[in-house]
Parts: sequence; structure tokens; C-alpha cells
Amino acid sequence: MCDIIWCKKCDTVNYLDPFNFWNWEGKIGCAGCGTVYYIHMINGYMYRGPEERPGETPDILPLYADQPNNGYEKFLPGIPGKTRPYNCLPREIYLGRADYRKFSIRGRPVRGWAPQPKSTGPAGSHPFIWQVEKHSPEVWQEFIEKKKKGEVKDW
Amino acid sequence: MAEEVRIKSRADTMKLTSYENRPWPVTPPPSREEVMKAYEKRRAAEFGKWCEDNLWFYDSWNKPEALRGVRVLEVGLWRLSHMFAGSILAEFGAEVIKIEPPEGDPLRYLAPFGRDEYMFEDVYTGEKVSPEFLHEMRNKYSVTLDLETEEGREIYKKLAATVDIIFEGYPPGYMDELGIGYRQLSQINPRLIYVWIGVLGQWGPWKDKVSKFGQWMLDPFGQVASGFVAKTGYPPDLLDRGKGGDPTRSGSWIADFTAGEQAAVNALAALYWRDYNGGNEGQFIEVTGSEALFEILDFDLSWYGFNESIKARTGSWDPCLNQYAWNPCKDGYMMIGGQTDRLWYRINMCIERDLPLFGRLICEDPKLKEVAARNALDMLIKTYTLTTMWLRTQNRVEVEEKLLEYDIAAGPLLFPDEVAEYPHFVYRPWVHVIEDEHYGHVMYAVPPNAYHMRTPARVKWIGRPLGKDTAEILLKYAGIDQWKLRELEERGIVKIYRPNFENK
Repeated sequence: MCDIIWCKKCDTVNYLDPFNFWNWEGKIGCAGCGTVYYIHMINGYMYRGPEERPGETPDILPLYADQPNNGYEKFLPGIPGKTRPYNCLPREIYLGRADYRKFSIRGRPVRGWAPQPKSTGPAGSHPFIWQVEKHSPEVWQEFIEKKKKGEVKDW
Repeated sequence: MAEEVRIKSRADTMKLTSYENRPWPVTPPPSREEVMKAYEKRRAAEFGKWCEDNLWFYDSWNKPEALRGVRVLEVGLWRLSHMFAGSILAEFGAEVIKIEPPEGDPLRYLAPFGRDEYMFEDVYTGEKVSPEFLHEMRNKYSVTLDLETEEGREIYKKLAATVDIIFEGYPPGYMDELGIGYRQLSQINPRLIYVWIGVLGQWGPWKDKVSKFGQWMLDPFGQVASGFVAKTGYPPDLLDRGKGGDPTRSGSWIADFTAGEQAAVNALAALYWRDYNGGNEGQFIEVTGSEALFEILDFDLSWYGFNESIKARTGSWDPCLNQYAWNPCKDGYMMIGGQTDRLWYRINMCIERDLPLFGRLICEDPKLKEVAARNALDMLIKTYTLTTMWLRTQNRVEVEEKLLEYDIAAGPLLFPDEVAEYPHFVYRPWVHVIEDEHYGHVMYAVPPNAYHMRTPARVKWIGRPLGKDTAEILLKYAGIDQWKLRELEERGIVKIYRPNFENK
């Protein structure tokens, strides 16, 4: 329904993503305080609601909510009981934990991790040859150990 | 007074929408003088004029064709990939001969929803042809030949001896088994470039997966096997599964078209190599729909290899840019493109003018002030929810006008009738009509290769009824005389097109 529910009880903005809610009727739980609201959306317009439905269980939760008047406190997707998950995102980056990979799934060192050591220069730029043993000796060491353990694969 | 028309079925509407009653385009495009003024306004008067002088579509018929003298055989059933490869070369002037069995390629008869009235009709014989098949018969010759008879195969060999390229779309190993595959034909014609186009390949453990006795694999198997389909449509987290949150077909047979395009490139590369090396070394080439799609999977496979990430479906939202998506509006969908600070703040200014809430929740959010942080999933949800709150009250044309005032990339999602009337497309033209000998007025998409400075591609005729060129081609290249042809027809090895001129 491409609208928001700005909950007056807890000052939380619940974002109702456009494709799911464009035409939608049901009860949605506030991510901040759990208040259940009934809404009926037709072609993107709030035809009815939001009406409080105390004591009832929600049909759906928002994907994302925040509190702009409280230092932009966030409710990211996938918090049990508050927001619904975005399972199609495979990793946990949407929960705010950065995932820096130093080895590919074959166990070989990759370049795409951050922060890169200062020794790699601006933006870690080394055309053609990446001297991992020189620029990131700790990663190289880890790679040698992985090799010894037989964790490096060729598919 | 207007005549009252009672519409009981689509057949009753046909005469109302005919070219005579409703000429195209309904709105004429701007004149060249008017467009020149637009170039001047954008300080591109000279370059604009130079482009028009060199690439003007209506001049293309005065120019030579790049592949004049190249002869191509196209053989296969049910599939679009070899046909599309042939179409591309035919547009460039190659002589493309499509071989069909005497009863015709089944694709000829596949009408949308099985409805006859959606098919085109040959004015001389009343023979129907599906729009899909017709579209891929442009500039080609239709020859019928039963390859399952010994005599048919002998004639096929004679034709193969005279051609430069063969595009084949039969199941793996079928032609080889008949004794007319590359291994046999290259003995007769070593210069032959033979491109087999399939779904999963002619070799390897899955080469002829699916029924051994019935239908062989077609385009969708290539689509689903390549992972292409897995990333189309909406994820179940945005829309419930079964209510839109499912992978979708891409709207056209994308694996076949992609493979066809690749096959054409392969054939031309081999042709260049053959002629560069003395002109005697042909080769065998294999192209598959799955691999053609692998190549356009973007970063999906590398990302998986990097850290096991499986790229999520994100529907119309781009996962790497914000804003970069189409979202629903009052009368359809609107594409808005941004991301850099310059565009981001312009979009914000434009929307905030109508929707102050957008300013409070989007413009003021400190996370959204960072270029890279804008792409986080939570920020996409937030931005697009508020943007659609603005879009829901307006039609596409209003939104486009407002955004363009702020120099923002904005484009409405157009439906086919709107595409056909879009002044830019009509002016260039990308959409055009052709007066075909057999099928009358047919609207078609001008080939993207038609804007060559020296050798533009062009559509000379849109299609051919079954066997229209059998006699001409066999007399010319297969050493067959009129009497032999008559005999072959009687035995059902070929079908010859016989127009009834009184029908027209």
C-alpha cells in the first residue's frame, strides 16, 4: 500500500512496502510496541484504517521500521516478532553484521575484503599481480595453513 | 451518423482496428525541422544533423548490404534460436533458406491462446501463420523438404554443398544420425560453418535429458537450468508465494533469443576467420541457451563463488542502486533513476514539493545522506515506500513531467500500444509498418542493426508462406528440373506453394 503507519504510542514509523501492500487488507503489528492495526488498502490508498485492534494477532509485520525522533533507531528486516524477514537475502548483512570474506568458498584468498591494509596503496590498487604474501602476510599465512589442512579445493 | 457496431467477439473488432480505419501512427511524429530545433536547443545541431544524414532509416535502401552473397541454410523445428540467428543475418542481406518439413514447422501454427483470429493470413491461400513464426521469417526463403527420406537428404546435401553457414536447431545428434550432420557435410563442403544451437548441449551427461521418446527440451529448460529464472520476479518476502512472489518467465523466450544472437556472432566470427585464412576452413560451433544465459547472469556466479551468496530476487528494485526501480503509480509503473548525490537530491526536492513527509523521513535521514549507505535493503524499503506514496496519486505523464523539470532520469513503463505511438520511436523509426506481399500491413520492430552508416540491415519482406520458394531454390541450387520437382511433390518429399491469385 505504499504507505506508513506512524505509531503514536511509540513514535515508530512502519514502512509498508509498495508491492506487497498496494491492495491489501488485514492486521499489521507495529515493530516498535507491537500494537496491532487493521488496514484496508485499495490501489495504494488507505481505504480504512489504521484502526487499533487490541488483543488480536497480526497477519503480517513490516519489513522495516524506524524512529526518526529517537536518533533513527532502526528495526531491520528479520527481527523475530518485530519485522518480517527478507529470506531471499542470503547472508546476514541485513542484520548489520559486516561480512568480510578473505577466502573464497574454494579456500583461496580473495581481494574483496575490507579494510585493506595501508600497504596496498590507494584503493588497494595493484594491476595484474596481487602480491598477497607481501601486502597481507597474515592472510597468506592463513592460506598456507588451510592448504596444509587440505581445505583448499579445485571445486 | 456513425454506424452501430455490435461486438460479440474479437473478430468483430478486427475491421475497426484495421489499418484503413485506424492509420498508424495516430499522432504523426515531429517533422525533421522541429527535431533540428531540439538539437539546436541542446547545442548538438551539427552532430544531430550528421547522425541523421548518415543513419537516416529511409536512406537505408540506397545502401549496400553487408552480407550480400553469403548463403545460409536454417534447419530445425519448434525453436526460435536458429530462426533468430538466421533472421539477423538475413537482415544484413544474407540469402537465408529455411528448410521445413512438407507439413511445416509446428511453430507456424502456435497462435496466442490457440485463437485463429490472432494469426496472420496469406491473402492468396488463406493459410494462417502465427505472429511468432512470422516475425522470425523476415527476409527468408521457405523451402520444404522431408529430411527423413533418403531422397530428401540427398537434396539437402546438394544445398549444403553450396552454402557458407548452416544454423541447426534439432535435438542433439539427430542430424548426425541421419547422415547429414557436420561430420558428413564437411566432407562435401569443407568451407562450411555449422552452428548447432540447443538447450543444454550435444555432449555431456545431460545432453538429451528429458523424454527420449517424446518432446525434446526447448527454451524454458535452458532458462530454468541456468539460474536465470531464479532471479526474476519478486521474492516471497515482498509478496507472498503464489500471490506474485514467484519467479516468472521473462516475457519472451529469452534463452532462445540470446542463444540466437550468440550464434549469429559465432557464425560471423568463423566466417571472418575462414576468409582471413584462405577461405577453405569451415568449422563446427555449438551454442546453447543455458550458456547464453550464463553469460548475462551478471555477477551471480562470481558472487556465489566468492562467499556462497545466492543472489536474491528483488523484483523491480535494483539491489545495487537507490533509487533505481519502477514502482506502482496511478495508471501503471514509473521508472526513476538516481543514486549519485546530484540526482538523489534532485529527486528528493521534486517529491518533497508535493509530499512534505518525504522530506522528513527521507531527506533528513542521516543514513540516506551517504551515497553507499543508500543501497542497504532497509533504505531501499524506506525510500520506495515513500516514493510510491507520492506516485500513487499521479499518472505516469504527470510524474515524468515533474521529474524532467529537475533533470532526473525518469521513464514511464510503456505498454505495446503506447510504444507503437511513442513519438521518438515513430520518428527514428524503431516501430514501422511494412506492406507485405502475402500478409498485408504488418507492424514490426525495425532491426537494431538498421542504423549502420554504410551497410544498414533492413527488413525486405516480413514472412513467407510454407514452401513459397521451394521451386526456385531447388531449381537453382539442387540441380533439379521441373519434372523431378513434380515427382517429388507427388511423393510428398516437398510441398510447393500454389497461390490462388483470384483470392486477392
